[in-house]
Amino acid sequence: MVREILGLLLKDVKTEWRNKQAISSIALYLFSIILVLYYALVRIDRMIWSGVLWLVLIFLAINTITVSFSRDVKHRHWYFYTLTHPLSVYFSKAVYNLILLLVLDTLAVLLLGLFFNIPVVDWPLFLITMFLCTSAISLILTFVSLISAKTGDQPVLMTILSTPLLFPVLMSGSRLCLVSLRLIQDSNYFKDVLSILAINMITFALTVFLFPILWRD
Amino acid sequence: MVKLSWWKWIFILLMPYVILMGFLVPLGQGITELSPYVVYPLKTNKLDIVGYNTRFTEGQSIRAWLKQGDYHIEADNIIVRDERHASLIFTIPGFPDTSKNDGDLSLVMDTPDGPLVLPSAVNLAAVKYPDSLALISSQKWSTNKLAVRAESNFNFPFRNILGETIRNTYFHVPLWFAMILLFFISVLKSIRYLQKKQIEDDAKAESFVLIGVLFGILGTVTGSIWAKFTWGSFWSFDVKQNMAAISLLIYGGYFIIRNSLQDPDAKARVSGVYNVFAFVLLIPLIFIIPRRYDSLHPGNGGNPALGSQDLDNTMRIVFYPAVIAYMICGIWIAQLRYRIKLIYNNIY
Repeated sequence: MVREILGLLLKDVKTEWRNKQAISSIALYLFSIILVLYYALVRIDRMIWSGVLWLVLIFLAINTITVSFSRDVKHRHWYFYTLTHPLSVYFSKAVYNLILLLVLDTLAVLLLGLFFNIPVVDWPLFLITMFLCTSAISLILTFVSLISAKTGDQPVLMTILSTPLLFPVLMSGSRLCLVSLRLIQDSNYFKDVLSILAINMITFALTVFLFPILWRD
Repeated sequence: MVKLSWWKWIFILLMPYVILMGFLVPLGQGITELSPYVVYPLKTNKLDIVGYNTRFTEGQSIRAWLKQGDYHIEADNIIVRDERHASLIFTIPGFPDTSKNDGDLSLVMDTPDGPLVLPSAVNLAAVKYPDSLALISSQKWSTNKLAVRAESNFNFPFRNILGETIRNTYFHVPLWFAMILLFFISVLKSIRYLQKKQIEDDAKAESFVLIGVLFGILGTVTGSIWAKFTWGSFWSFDVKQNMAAISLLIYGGYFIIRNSLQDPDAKARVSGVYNVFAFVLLIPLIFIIPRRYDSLHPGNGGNPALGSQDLDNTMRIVFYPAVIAYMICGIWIAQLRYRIKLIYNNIY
């Protein structure tokens, strides 16, 4: 199973590496968004920095993950279906999305730092928050992208379904981000870390049960 | 004669009971207004109070105390003007332990109808005075236990901000209990569908989600109206209001998925999977995250949701039947909607 996941992951990375379509278009999108923000805002304080970061992250996540199943040709799904366990398909996609999103997150933070500044005070907390939120987002959105692929690839559906489902993650995540910027004081922030971790585990357990049902046609 | 299942009779019996009790049981007595807000030590203070559902003129044996911690002081004189208006005369000596004076004094009254309490009623002004003066007074702060008569009537408690709207507890809160139950039943039906592939289970799941969403909308509306009269605006971006809106959006996605698929099997499978996924992600949204935020609702910021302050025993005997009645009501409506759907599908 691990070999299957690695093989599928490598296949996704290779296809991405050959045409570099997704990553370059998303990076271009990211760059232009932050450039627009730079000219629109000129200077931003820490509160707006956190808001901008989260907006950019959500749009990046939704835009990259939407295509994760619809990018493959329809018949290739049948091919995977005969060859591999459905869960290896899911986890290869989720891990691929996680790596891609982590790269893009880093790029987003660096670009925000280049154009504005990086007001992060508590770096360990910030990095843990980013990692946990990105993994929860990629787990949830990979699943939702399969749902939207099953309903005939309506791009609107992905946005409509994913935003409310991501809300718990975004609430705790943005709160933790504010704590790491020292904009709010919260001695109990560990509970928020735990709740994001719990959402990760719940989603993981759910998808183990639900993905195989959804996968077969 | 229509034959009904036994549990439908429970609803038929309970719902009129809830409506009658909920609207007809009077509210207990309370104090709605008090002025002035500050009392001065070593002076004679006159406090004017306005009561609600009080009977000051009946029975002369009304007593009043101002209380802070273990210390309390009794009113010198009580001038009753009518049923609802009275003036209390207090001569207040210096507070015995100035270091512990946090300023807030509660008003406790003993009336023939029972105790009348207004927490943090007035502020004791922190006036500097020589220690010797504290002793010169006919009145002394006492630490004896207050003897007040017990509540004699069957009343709902009077709460200052809520007033008569406390009755909405029986009609607003059970809607959410019923909504969660309906969503839970629909998840069970969806899981059953995913195991056994009986299309009826999917139709049942859809009916339960639909009625659950209806209950959620009703809960939001009744909550908004209640909020207008107690918190001042229809929507105050309270964390529970927002979570309710988000959960309705999540279930809106369920119907969008159903509408975007034509094949009934694919529709049942994809929406069933989404239903399970959405319900499980709803649990942190409703039960975990609101506890981390300050909220106007009871049950947040650490205080228990159905504690004795929010729900006393007289309210419990109406509230719990109301919860059961609403749950049965939701299941009944969902069943009817499922049967209509079946007839509709057979005709067309």
